[in-house]
Amino acid sequence: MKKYRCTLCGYIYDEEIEKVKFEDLPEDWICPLCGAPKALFELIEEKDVSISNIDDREVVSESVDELRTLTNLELSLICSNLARGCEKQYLEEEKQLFLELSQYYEKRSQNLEGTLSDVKEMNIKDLDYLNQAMNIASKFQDRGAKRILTWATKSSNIMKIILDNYEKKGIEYLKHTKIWVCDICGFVFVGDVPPEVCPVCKVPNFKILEVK
Amino acid sequence: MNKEHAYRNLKLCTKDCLCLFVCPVGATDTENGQIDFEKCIGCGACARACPSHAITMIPNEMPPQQKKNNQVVNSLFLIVDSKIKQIQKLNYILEQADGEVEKKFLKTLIHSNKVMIEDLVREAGYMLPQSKNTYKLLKMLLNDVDEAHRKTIEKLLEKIKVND
Repeated sequence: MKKYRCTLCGYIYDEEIEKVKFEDLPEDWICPLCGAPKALFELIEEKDVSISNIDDREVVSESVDELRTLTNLELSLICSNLARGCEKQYLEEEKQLFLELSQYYEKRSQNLEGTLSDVKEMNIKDLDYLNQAMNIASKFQDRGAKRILTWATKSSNIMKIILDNYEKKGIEYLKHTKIWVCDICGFVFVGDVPPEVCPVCKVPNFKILEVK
Repeated sequence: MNKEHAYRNLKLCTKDCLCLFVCPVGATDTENGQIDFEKCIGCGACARACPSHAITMIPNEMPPQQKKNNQVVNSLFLIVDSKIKQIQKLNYILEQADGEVEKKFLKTLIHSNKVMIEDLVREAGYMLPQSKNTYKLLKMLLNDVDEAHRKTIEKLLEKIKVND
């Protein structure tokens, strides 16, 4: 008897309790807690292997000194993120100023020719980048970076599945249902009612916004 | 000088008015529903008395943000750059799209990527508006900006006090 864990919300599927083997579940079976597809479940190994390379810890260097070249869209999103930072400190006027800048740089940004399959490919590549970044963040014990990387890995995984479904089923996939995005972590949910709390970042669902 | 001041979350305030009873300087009773920050002495009595937990004490000055390792920052920006390009492509596809469902789908992907990028850049050194990183960025932006937005940047530089 095996156990499987939902990599999104942590729900555990225990074959012993369910009396049905995980592999015998239909392909369209979804996580009863968060709606994640079957493919996002992982087998729980008997023994958890402990992380070994924690010893080669290095001294955390000083903050970034030289400014990197940033694209217009990057500037736009840095500014909208800083607007969020102001909002949390209840600095309403500063928030509006950062939002103005964000819109300005977004308008200056140019589109790139491409197709959905390009986007899909890049999304899959992101999972490698995320994994690589996670190793670096673990090495330097950067909790904040580890947090966003965990969330972004989950949300990018969900995006991959949604792109797959859209490719297979076309607009029929979304024609008679609603679609939502968590405004905190980017989790995408297809369905009429979003989960009570976001399965990725655990925010209550008033932060999960319907896209119209 | 007080270290913090009270702030009322209007979404939570159910007008229990305990704050009015306990405030020693009458800062909590205003026409616009918000606390009078000029009057507030930061004693915290209102926040402790509020039965709806609608009042929080906001520090007047934030502590400096966490220092970031360059390798971590670079690895985060690798993801940011990829997701930026995806949004640029999705915007291009969105321009050509005509079906409502397709548009909604594309907007969803764009929104999701934007949220992730915002959080990634936050952890890559742009967490606090008061940080030196933000200050340096705003200064640099002055080099290439139109007149209206130059004013926006100048206002921000004037209003935000650098804390590290």
